[in-house]
Amino acid sequence: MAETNPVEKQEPREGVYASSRLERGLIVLTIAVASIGLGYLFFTQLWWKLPPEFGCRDDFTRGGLCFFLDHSIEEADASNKLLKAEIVGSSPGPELSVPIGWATQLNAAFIENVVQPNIHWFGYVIWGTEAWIFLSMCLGFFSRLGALAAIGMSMQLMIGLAHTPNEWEWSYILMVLLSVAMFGLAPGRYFGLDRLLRPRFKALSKRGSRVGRLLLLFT
Amino acid sequence: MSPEIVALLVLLAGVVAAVVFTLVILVAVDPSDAGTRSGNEGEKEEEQETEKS
Repeated sequence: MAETNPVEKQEPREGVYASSRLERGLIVLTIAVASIGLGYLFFTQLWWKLPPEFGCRDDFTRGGLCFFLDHSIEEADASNKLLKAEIVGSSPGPELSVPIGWATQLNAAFIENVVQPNIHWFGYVIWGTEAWIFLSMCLGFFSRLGALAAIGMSMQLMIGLAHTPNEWEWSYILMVLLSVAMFGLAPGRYFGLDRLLRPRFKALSKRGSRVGRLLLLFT
Repeated sequence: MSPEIVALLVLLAGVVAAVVFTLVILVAVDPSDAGTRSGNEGEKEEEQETEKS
């Protein structure tokens, strides 16, 4: 019969359960840097589309946010491929790619029929969402909800702009991937306000509060 | 007021609101039923394991 080796039991555990203080500190630090970095990315994008004009000119027909909305519609029929890999450089076009034509068309239809006609208030939704992502990611405040908003915003940008000429598709894809990682990790649990809030929300949830359960989901 | 100042004030108000909300929850809700302590969630499980052994 195989015996359990007692030495194996004392092996230091890894990942988020690392027993070393240095290891744990490193994990918290890297998650905080990634989260604050993502928040700062959205912070930098707030200033060229400030309300109430959102950077648009000539009665919301060009410039600023209006330019990028137009650009997404105009380029809906462009290459329409993502995750391109040109394995054999001599052959024309990438050998590997993911077709996203249906998504770009759907995105263009949404922008044309919903966003553009209502840009006077929809601009506030866009700006407010990006401001929320900045606050959530930098303060670790309802960070899972913030990361979910970041996924939505990054996905929209990726579908609308990543395939267009003169854009490096991976800048958008990496934004999506970082947002997905933040969603899974819920960074506020490591360094932010969520760290203080979660024990209280857990208590509320255990007392049967639906609001507590919902708030717990968002942190 | 310029749009930049308004935007900065909105962001500042957001920070203040988040901190105030957290303080209100900390004061108003008793965490004793949670069965957990405040702190890093990843570290917490480690601490609980150490206490058991």
